[in-house]
Amino acid sequence: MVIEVDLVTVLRPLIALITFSVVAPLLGYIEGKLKLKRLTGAFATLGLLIALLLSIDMPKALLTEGAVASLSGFGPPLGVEIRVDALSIFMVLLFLGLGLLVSLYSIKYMEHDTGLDRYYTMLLLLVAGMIGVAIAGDFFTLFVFWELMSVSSYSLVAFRKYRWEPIEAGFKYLVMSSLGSLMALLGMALLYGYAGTLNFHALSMIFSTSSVDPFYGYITLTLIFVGFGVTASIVPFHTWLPDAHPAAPSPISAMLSGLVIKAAIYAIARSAYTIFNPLIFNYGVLFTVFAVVTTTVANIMALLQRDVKRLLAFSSTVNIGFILFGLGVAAYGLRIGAIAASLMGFIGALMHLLSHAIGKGLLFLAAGSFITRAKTRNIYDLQGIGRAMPWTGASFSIGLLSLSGAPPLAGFVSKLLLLMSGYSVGDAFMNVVTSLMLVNSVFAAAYYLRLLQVCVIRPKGIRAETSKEVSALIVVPLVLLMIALVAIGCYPWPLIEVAQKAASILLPLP
Amino acid sequence: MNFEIFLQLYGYLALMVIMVISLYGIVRGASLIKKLIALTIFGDTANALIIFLGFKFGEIYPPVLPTLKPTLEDIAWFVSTAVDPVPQCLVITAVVINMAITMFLAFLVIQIYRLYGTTMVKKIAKLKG
Repeated sequence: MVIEVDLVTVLRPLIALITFSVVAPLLGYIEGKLKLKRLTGAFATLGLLIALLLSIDMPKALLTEGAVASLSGFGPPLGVEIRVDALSIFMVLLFLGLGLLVSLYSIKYMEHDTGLDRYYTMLLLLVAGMIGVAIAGDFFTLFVFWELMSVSSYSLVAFRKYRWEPIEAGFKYLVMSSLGSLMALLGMALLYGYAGTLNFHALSMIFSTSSVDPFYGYITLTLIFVGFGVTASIVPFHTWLPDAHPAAPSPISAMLSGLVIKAAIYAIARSAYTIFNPLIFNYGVLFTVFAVVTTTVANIMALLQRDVKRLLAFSSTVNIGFILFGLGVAAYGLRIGAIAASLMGFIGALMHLLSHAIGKGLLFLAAGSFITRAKTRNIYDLQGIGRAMPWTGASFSIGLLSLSGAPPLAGFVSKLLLLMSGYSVGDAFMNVVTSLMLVNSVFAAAYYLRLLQVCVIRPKGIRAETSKEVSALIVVPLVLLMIALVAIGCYPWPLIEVAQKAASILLPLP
Repeated sequence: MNFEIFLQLYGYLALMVIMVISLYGIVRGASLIKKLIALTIFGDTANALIIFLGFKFGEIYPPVLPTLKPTLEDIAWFVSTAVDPVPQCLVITAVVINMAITMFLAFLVIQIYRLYGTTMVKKIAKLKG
């Protein structure tokens, strides 16, 4: 059952974020006049906190199949539509939660940079864009918010514009990602040309009849997959990511790696599963093959890195491969009738999305505070720095252990679900693919543990001797994220329930 | 051959060809400025293609309803004569976004020129060492 709600009630967090982002430059001006540091940062954090509080009654929609709001007088399929279901809530709360902690971290971390009013405006708009992507009910809304998200992330990557590295990385990211958006736009336009509507629900009705021309469906699916896949950094479209993530300021690396690529994976999942019924379109194989290629290539590249942020960037691509694998298993399982495996694959993908967002956010933030103290990004120069900075070191270790899949942390739950789902499909192709993913998972654990060994376990190096713990404002978000990882790992059931609800709405189960 | 069908086929083909050429320009452009130009051409071509998808030949009217309180006949007349407004909405949104992206890209090129003194891709690679 779908309930109708008022548009303003659903959009409240978005309205709050956009209002705060408009006022932020003004605050920056006051900050400059009064010589008050940290004012804009505190203001932006307050904005995110208010948005989080305003979205707190969103989970009510969990009780139903989703809450729908549309412009008055222009209901779907004519007008724009906002649709909040279990998957949207999952994503929105993740975006707001991690966004809030990143903003809190930035207050102290970005203190010495100039142009902070622009930074916080863009940060708020970035979160607003991602929330919009998650609650869009049609492609038009999705595209508009997608571009809001992309444009703010381009400018955040090139924020330190006086250095060559961010400028070049920003250029590469911008060209690739805007090409991707245009591809996705073309795909949407072709869908419109075929079906005469852009509404997800109406499109799913039209495309679930078997009289659809499969050629047309595959073309649009490819365009949308490639278009969003550029931002999701699926190999071979990942080349912007290892440049952009290290070049951005550390909080922005955490946002990009934790959330922006997840928003892209969300867009792929939403458009693929709602519109193209896996029983008619066979894209499970495509997703799993891309997943294996992505993880393998990125794993090999990650092994060769000496720059800590670059290594973490490649590991983001690896984990995108894992999430894509879960989505592929869900589609493939549905097609051959393994419903339980398919559900488990989807739940695993969502749980991995969550555990990787939190874990990688934590790792980038912790690496950022190492870098501020040691003034280097080389892994071997950071030797033993975890011993000099106990809080940061501890959270860094927990993040690494979670990503490498050590129990009882969040990464263990999600990787277990993913691999189990692959094996329980029970056909030869899926067994081979899952075994490859298992090998890749062990492979990934190897370099996470090497990073752990060098940065935390080894005795203090030269640079670590002179480093001391960062201030409490930076440590608090790290510790909160660390607690989240442990808590999800020990007690994942409520989240698994939400993920199951999302799967049962999104997948066309018989 | 019917002129309209010819025009439509020719239009689609021409747009596809331009798209491929501009993709080549983005990948292989010698100067960053050329890459920028190729990207704007790609964007405009994609927009033109979308306009084409919603276009209607024959006797057409602009997509504006002549009355404020349309009856069913008015809407039926509108649907049968007017050009579909949704692709145009999409395109106008995309055009505005493309403008922002082009401005930002131009800024980045200027900044690269300030830092390196050149916009040629090969020279930049050499300067980086």
